[in-house]
Amino acid sequence: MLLLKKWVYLFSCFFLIWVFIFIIAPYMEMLPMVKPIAEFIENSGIDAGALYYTEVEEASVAELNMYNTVNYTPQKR
Amino acid sequence: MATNQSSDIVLDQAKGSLSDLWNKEDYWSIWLGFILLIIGIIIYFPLGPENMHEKIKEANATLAKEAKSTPFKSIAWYEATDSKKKLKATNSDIGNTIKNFTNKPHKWSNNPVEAFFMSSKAAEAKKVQAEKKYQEALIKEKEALEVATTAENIAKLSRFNDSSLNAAAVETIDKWQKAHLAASKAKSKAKVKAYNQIPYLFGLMIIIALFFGIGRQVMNKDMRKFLLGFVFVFIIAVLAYTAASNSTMKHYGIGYAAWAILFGLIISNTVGTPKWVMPAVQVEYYIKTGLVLLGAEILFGKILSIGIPGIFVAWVVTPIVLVTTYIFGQKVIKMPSKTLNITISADMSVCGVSAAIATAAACRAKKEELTLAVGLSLVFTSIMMIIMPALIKAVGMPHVLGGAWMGGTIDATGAVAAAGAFLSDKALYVAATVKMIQNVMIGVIAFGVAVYWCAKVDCIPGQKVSAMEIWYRFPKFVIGFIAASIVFSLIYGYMGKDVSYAIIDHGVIGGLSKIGRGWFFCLAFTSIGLATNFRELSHHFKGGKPLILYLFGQTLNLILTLVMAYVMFYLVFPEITAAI
Repeated sequence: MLLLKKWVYLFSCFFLIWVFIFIIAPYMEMLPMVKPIAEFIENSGIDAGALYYTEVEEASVAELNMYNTVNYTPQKR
Repeated sequence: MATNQSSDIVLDQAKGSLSDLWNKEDYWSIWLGFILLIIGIIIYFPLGPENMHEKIKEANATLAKEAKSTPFKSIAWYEATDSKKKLKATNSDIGNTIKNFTNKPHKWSNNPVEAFFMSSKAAEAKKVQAEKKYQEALIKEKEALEVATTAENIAKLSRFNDSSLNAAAVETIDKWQKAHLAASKAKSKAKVKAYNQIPYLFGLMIIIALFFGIGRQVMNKDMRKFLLGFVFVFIIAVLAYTAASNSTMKHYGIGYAAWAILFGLIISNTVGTPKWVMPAVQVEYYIKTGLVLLGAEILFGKILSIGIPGIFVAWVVTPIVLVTTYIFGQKVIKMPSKTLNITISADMSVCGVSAAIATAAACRAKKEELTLAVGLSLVFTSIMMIIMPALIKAVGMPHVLGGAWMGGTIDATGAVAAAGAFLSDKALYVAATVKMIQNVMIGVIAFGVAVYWCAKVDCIPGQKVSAMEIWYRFPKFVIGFIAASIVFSLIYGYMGKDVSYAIIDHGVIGGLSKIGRGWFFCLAFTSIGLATNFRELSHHFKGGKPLILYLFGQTLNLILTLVMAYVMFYLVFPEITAAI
């Protein structure tokens, strides 16, 4: 019985995760503050969950651009 | 090491011997990490793209010429930058093979099977749609380029002396750049291919299992028991990556670290982690090896990427916030655990999860403390990623300032990039670069914490600790971590930025070490979850002190970073800001 209870808890937890991924999170994305950035991340393909700069291609592009900006700065008239 | 009655304090002298080199986990993490780095060098250093040096020379000559002749970033300036961007060793056949073999579960929306399998029919259907969007984007880019070229030529006719014509040219070039970026993204999406990731994941599991298993066997552990348990740990890690690759989860920036810990916690606190799995639940082994690989990504030359303003925002504010928060935690909040205090202070002030991992390992924090620090960081990262760009837009903050502010305060680089790009390219470039400079600080922090802990914390008050004693107590994997950083920083500097971009950033690191590191950290977080009792975890959160500490530190971080960014980018170095 105790073992059965443990398995019930296990499946209940995964059910709650399913509810979060497929119901709660998508619903929250419709909130006015969240929707614009959620759509942007979807369209841009940026990996918003990446932890370190080497995992984000945009960081590499940004760095190259900044490096060129600092080293080849257009001369103002 | 002998201990007195309190398990927090270490007495007496530690001892070391030559056999530690093959019997201790710390050293094995160094050997394994360096083996992978050397393999990466052997593969990628000879793989510089064809005519790489000539292309770099030509691009730099164009950049120099345009910088002299045009008072703004011209079309040719951007095209020269683009040509350098394309030089990547990972674009080679072997780079693509390694990428396909080590791929994580693919992005999916409603059907988790798509994470592992896509049929040729489904791929073709997606490709047709994506190709149509790519062609539309390409037409828009061509039109934007024509308009920008015309505007630049008109400005050139007046020898760039007419500021309104120059401004018009800049505006149309910005629009072209946006259209160009959109076309690039559309092109990537049009490269849809059928896939079946299962055999590759199976092969990868065997390789990683043997990679770590050899060390386990030499350290007098039973490799067979490890290999058996590893299957379970690897499967949970794959499930964590699967959850993280759901498109909705990507919108919130909820990555593999959170899922790995959560799935592990659920299993260990319901049915319990099976005993036969425990030999493969090796948190420190995976983390330390991952950290040695991370060392190669800590390239000190990068701190100059945005000049002195970037150094001040990332390397002056960060240690001030870190130390102040730690002292506040000890003296005011009276955190019961110093290791929890420093781990939270580091992850909040430096760069989130990766800083938490490095600091926790350096001060030998408990896995529950690392879990708590990571959990706090991930929650607030998602919140700040949504709120900060909205706030910056609402108050009309300049994007260079807003970008620097977000880069210095939002914990994870992915979230920083998303928040920055949401505002504008300018905000993205500044935010991501500031964050990258902060990421590099992990090396210094980890080393400093390790030395401080050995010399001051892990001893009886008043006890003088000799240099030899500090060496014995010092977490040895940090040496591998720092050595990898120093070696790669030197190589990076010697080769020069442009060549290093091609064969280190997008070669050794992008094509192998970063991939290994990601998997090893995922295995580590899975192991943390599988070995953690929820009651022990909640005990560390009692009184809400960790949350108060994080909130205090992050508030201080937000204020100081904003002030420093304003001073540096607008008062001291306005010319750099104007050029961005």
